[in-house]
Amino acid sequence: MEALHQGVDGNMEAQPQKGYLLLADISGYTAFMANTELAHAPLVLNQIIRFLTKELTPTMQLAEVEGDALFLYASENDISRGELLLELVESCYINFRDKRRTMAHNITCPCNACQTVTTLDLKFIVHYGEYVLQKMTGKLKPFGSSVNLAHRLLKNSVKETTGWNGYVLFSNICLNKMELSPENIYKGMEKYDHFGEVETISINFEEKYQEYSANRKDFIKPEDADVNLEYTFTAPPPIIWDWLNDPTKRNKWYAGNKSNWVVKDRPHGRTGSSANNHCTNSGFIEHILDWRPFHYFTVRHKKDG
Amino acid sequence: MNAKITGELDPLNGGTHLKWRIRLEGILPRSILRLLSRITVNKVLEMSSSFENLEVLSKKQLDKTTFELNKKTTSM
Repeated sequence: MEALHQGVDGNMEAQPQKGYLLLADISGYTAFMANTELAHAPLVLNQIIRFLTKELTPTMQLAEVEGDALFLYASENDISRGELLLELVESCYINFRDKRRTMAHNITCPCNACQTVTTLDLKFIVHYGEYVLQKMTGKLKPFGSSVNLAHRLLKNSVKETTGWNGYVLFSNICLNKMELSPENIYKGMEKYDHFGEVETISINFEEKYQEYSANRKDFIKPEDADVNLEYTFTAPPPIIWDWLNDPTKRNKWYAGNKSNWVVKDRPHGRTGSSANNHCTNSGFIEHILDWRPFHYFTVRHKKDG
Repeated sequence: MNAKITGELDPLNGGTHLKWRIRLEGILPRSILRLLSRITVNKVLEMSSSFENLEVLSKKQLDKTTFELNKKTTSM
């Protein structure tokens, strides 16, 4: 019986903790497998799984690869700015679409698996709740009712209702925790045995991808800059991005004149083009001109008034 | 006078290579704006020291995440 109660650190009782649960699911994979050659289809899956793992960790911890889905988690203490999660999955989706296009271009194999890779898409489920970490088959995994609900949310009515293939679905409780109110969303209600009705909010990533592809880039080229600086950091782009752009975190590393950056406004409910930050010490307004997590940002600093 | 800044992040060996660019916008000749930019970056913003601070803080965060995960995994 003891083993049943053993948790992380070998304690008799695992300590419940709160955090974010993320599922990245390759949609269309069942049909893809059914209609393609067995020899190459697993290679395609393996390539995508490895790509997703690289994109989503170490910001999130990988709990398990569940067939054609990845299950990841992060303690709430490790995600100080909830919006980072949205940026993480959005960036992952955009990079996936670019990768999918490159894969399709580079493939010379005429087999059905290789030729129909563009039918695969990605959906993300993000939930917030309580869980305990337990080691199963050599790997730490979150367990609990919240984990069950996150998995249940994979079966939802978003595609049926909206026609979207690539999207992120947040449980309402998760989006509230992230303190986000994005625009252009689909509000849904899912119903599951034992959980009842669950309010959800989904964002169409296909549309986001089109926006990113079509938008004119506002970007200072090296030859147009007055000063070019380069620095290599140990941490990966999502972590550096957060330190550069979270106003609270930025105040901790600026060595120059004492800054006190705060969020001024988020016209579309989140950070992005046309959002503003304000330095209450210098009186500068930072206006975001272009925003492509975790690739680049362009901002304009202007004296208030 | 306004300042436009671009930060470009490239993944590099598990880390990040940051290219940070600034361009001042104003009616002064470009040569003067370039000079003012350098003074702003080096003396006012102290960007080199700032990036060193950023490296220390972000590495600490990364180490903490990795350490806690390793601790949890090895202590089982």
